[in-house]
Amino acid sequence: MRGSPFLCHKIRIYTYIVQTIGREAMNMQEHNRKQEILRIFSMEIRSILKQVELDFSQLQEIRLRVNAPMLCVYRNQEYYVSEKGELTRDCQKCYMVNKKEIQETMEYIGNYSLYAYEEEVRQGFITIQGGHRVGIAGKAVVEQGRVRSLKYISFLNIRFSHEIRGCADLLMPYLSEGERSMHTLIVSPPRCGKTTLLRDCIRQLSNGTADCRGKTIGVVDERSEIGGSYLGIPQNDLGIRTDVLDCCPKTEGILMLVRSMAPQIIAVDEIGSQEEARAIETALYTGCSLLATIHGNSIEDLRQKPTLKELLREKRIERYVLLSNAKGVGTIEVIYDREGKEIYRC
Amino acid sequence: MLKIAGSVMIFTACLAMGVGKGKEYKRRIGELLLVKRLLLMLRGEVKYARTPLPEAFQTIGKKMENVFGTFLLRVAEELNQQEGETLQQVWEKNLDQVLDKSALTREDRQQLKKLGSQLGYLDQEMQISTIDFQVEQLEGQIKRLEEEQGKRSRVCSCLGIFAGVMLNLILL
Repeated sequence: MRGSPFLCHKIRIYTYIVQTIGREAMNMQEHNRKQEILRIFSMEIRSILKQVELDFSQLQEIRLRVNAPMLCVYRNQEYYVSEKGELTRDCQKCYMVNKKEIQETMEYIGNYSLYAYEEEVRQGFITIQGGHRVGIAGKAVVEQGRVRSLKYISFLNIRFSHEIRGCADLLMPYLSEGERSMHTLIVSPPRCGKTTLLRDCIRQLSNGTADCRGKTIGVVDERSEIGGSYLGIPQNDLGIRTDVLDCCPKTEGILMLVRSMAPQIIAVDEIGSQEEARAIETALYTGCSLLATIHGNSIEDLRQKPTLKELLREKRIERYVLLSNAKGVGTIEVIYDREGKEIYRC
Repeated sequence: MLKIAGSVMIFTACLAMGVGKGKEYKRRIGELLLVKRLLLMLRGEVKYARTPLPEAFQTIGKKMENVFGTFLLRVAEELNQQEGETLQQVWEKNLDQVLDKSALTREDRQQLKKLGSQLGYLDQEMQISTIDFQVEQLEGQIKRLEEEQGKRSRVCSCLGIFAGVMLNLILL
């Protein structure tokens, strides 16, 4: 009995230490993210953004257009950024971006080496360190009917990636049946958080949960958005049993991983073409489970797509997860089983 | 006796200066060959791995272990900081600072400076062509210098001997 006040005091001290360390780690993380974001902008824009008082983890998008206001999307709201570094809805106070700033920003985004991103520029976007995606528009250089390159780049849309640990908690019980992972398709319109959800699913399936042992996962990260790899090393946590094939076209990557890394689950983002669907089918025949995302608003939408016709007709997909922005980004609206029967509704 | 010792010393010093000048010429050729090696490695990084320049400079810089290695590592470090300077500015600044004590002449350094303004193109083919052009020019220059090397070394040694003899004649 004599020892208990002493014990309580000790616990209080330990709690305080743990809380302080946690807080410091969070601050450090926030600071690193801020630095990571700021360094891609021109010096002028960088100095303005440095003054802005915002939680950088909630920053979703910054848009730069030549001779137009700098805009940012923060907590799902669009704001102008003023010269003094304030978020405002008053157009008169907005900071106007000029051509030189876009050029300088492009230099930093392309790491002074745009030739290294030639293929990405051709597709209209570059993924940078941290997994952030920069959309690019300007004048297209066309050769034999195909876009060869872009010049006079005048429009940039910087979309910041978010790693939200635990955002897939609700979904996890629906993704496994005993020790087997279900073939799962995450369906959502753009900007509903499907990549973020996919990332957390990968992390949890790879590390293992209370109900399910960890699985070996092969990720084909064509646009470096899932892992945000830098020099081949994922900057986002994708779990301890995950192999990442960075910047590799999905069609080739899926088959490469199946041959070389023997994954139990294959994870890919944004299935688009028929070739990709065929590669997925091949992988499924080898016994891998599928975890993928696709653009769409409903299951009906998917049925209209020629890409997935076969997979849907054969009822190979066992879980359809529909996302929306109804209750904030990444709301899991409905989960369907392979027959199209609702097994969860928000 | 003292006079003889003095004249021998003057003669030896002049001869050494002449021979040293000849060796400096040889050192310049050696350094130009190193620049060529650097450019070929850079070409490889651009062509086969599409490596961004800061990363390529770092990789090559670590392999070179000489004044050019130091130069590339410093350029890579400054580019990675992204502090508002263009690639050309960073390249030229470090070229002047680091390669100041090298055997390269002002003309050689000017040639290298031009390269800094031609790196970072959007088009990979264009980037490789630029490096190829630099390598070609460098090869021409090295060939010319190698042809002249024997002649120049002999001239420098002879001038050293001549200067030694003349000084002895004047002073004695």
